[in-house]
Amino acid sequence: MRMNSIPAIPLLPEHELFKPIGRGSYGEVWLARTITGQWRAVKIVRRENFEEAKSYDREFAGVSHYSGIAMQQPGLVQMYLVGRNDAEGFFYYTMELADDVGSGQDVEPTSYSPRTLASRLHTIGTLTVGQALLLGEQLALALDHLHSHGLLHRDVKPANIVYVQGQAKLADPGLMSLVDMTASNGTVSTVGTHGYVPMDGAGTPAADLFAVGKVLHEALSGKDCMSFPEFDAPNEALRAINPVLHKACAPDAASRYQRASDLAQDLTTVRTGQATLHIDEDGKISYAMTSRRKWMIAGSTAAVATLIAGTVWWQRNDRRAKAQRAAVKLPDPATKPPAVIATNPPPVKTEPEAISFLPIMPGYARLGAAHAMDAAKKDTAIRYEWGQWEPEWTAPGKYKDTAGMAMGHNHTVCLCADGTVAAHGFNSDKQCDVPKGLDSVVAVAAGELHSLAMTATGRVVPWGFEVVIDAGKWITDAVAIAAGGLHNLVLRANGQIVTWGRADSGQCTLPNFDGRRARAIAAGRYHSVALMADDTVVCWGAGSSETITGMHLRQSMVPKKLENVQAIAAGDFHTVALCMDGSLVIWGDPAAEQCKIPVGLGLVEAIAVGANHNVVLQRDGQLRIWGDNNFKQLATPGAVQAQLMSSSANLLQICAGGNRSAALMKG
Amino acid sequence: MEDRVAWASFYESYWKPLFAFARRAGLSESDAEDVAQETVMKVAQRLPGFVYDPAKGSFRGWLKTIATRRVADHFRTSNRRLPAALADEKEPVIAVPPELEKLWDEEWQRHWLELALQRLKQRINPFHYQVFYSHSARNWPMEEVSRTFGVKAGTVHVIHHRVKPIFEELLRELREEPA
Repeated sequence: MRMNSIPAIPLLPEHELFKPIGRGSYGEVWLARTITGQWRAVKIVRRENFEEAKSYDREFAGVSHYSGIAMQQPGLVQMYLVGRNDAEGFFYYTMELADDVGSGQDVEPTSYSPRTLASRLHTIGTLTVGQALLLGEQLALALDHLHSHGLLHRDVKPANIVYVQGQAKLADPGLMSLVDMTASNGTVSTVGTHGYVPMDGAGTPAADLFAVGKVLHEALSGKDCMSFPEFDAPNEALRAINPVLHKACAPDAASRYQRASDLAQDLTTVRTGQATLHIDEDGKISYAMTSRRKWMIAGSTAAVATLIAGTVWWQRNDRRAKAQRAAVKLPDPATKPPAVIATNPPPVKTEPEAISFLPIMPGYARLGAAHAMDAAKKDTAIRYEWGQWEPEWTAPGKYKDTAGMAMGHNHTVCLCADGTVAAHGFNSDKQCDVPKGLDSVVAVAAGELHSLAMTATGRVVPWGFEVVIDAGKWITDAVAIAAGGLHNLVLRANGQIVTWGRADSGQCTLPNFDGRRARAIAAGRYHSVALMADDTVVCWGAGSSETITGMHLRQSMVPKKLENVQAIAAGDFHTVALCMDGSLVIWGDPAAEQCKIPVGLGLVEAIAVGANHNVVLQRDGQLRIWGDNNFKQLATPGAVQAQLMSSSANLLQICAGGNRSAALMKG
Repeated sequence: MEDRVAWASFYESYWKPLFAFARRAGLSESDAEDVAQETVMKVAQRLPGFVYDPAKGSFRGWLKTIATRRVADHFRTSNRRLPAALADEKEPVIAVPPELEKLWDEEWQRHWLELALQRLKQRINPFHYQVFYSHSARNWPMEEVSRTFGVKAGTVHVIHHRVKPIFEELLRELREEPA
């Protein structure tokens, strides 16, 4: 294969090419701008770089095929346009442009350099285990999508993992259809970079996964790709991911991951603490499931293969569903508001009515947060948690008394009576490591891998996974906070909503509120909910249409004419609204138990929602829990039931998150 | 073909320690690259007629002399102050100044260890290699190996016990290789 050393600037319709920014397989990549001012990466693939015409045509066919399927998978760089100029001897395609290594999405053509995993590792050295796990999942899911459509990547490596609006994506595939590889009996030339290609070659799905294992090792160890499986510094957090790396990079091809979905699944189970992988002294890998579970993986004929992380349920008609993990959109550092921030327009300047905000933490019983605080200060508040618990999670310490709780997917954050915060549970991304000196906190929230606190002065303090930024510099009037899967919502005193974090399902794309203000917010795993000052509900994010696919299970489709709502809560795939008359309205996954109203449900006083179950306190003092029970999250402890029977005023707050439930009781 | 393979193997085996030696002697990266390259070229020129005579010293000893001469030449070329030991061109060819001798020996020791580890990696189970590398090459205490990789301390001990003789044998083979 010959490559021109100095490429001539090709003429493309409606695109202005500025400079070459990289060399990929068979061609060069240019920084370009469309006539509408959008920045793009344009790859030029030249015929002269191929030995044979059929190889060139095969590459074009692969690219054309890829362009159609890439848009369905956020972990793949999107293609916008594919064109061909046989007279000049090239074809081209335009793609999303990677963030600039220094300035993010502010592109300065003279200095632009793409931000890749390679450049990121060059700057920061290594990723944390949590970051590597999530990156690995994203890559595996992206590859699963490619493989399920008959394509291979063949050149997975840090330089080919780019960041677009903060999200990691696979770029520059040396595409070839699986069918073609088989038919050619391996005689076609295979691309790939030394160190990321197994001894048996680059032409299989397992070889793509081998490369992912090498990339993750490199990212964790800070060493080059030839150094697998060496680590230079001990780190107990490696214990969980190490077996996955060994399986991905096993010398024997038959021992490796054969399917990307299996690799994604293992990375998810490790990340969410659902299972532990072990290597025995002979190097064999085994699984120790932390509890009895069944995995549900849905295949779709439209072929977006996705994976549910940490959740299992059987649909009534045995339909399997798979939720897709997607990357986090990383906001800019704290010197300015994050790039993904979305804020609805401020209300029209009329004499504002006072907004009746909800209690700043949800789930409080009728007597409210003050009652809970009072009990906590008097040392009479007792916290009960039940459902999923894994031995490797951080156990609760001897907290000062709990005045309120928030439950994330796998961890709990407690507001203490003295305004400090304590946390326990899964701590892969330091989501339980409360910032030192944090005090005067009045509300807490917990997401999947991160936590939030709101202070009495209206500041918001996040910590944990990379959605963290220091919001304190520019939000000083928060009245409520909510943490979703990997995104955040903040409600400001003027009724505006501010949001940032993962944005792949539109959960950070604020809808048009028509000038209305919000009085409460809730964040599901992939969607967002607002209770407006006029007691109506607005949802946005995953599940905004009738079509059910992946994690889109209609959880954002607010029933028509829903009004007089007094409280909202959101799970992974469903949304719950408590109306002023005590009735519940639930929407989302139509076949799930948690979306049904249980028989005999009385009028409801307070609601709390986990991933796939609901906890409600009825006005008559009864606690009702229904939905998924794979982790016994519905099994209310006897002590709680006994105290409730004694007096319903003994229950201060209900809480739910992930596969767990909790109650704060007055002792 | 065999010559090409052998030559490639020689180049891979010797370039790195030659480069490292030149760097430790005080040359810049580019000068050290030149020394490594020139030494290898010198060997290539002399090899067709070369007859190895152990009585005249080892192959590595001869390599050491050439490399040391190249280092001296580079110091002269750059007008830097030459290490005193290299100032006298009339030094017998086989004599190498003691401080450079020490540098050379250290680099070769390091090179053999790295090569032995690379060969070990090809020979044993990757997990065993990982445990052995951490404990022996990186000197992690057994408890740290156990905690990091989730194996019992006893298992670390067993793996170390099994792998160490293989590693020592590889090291011995490298030290005894004439070229």
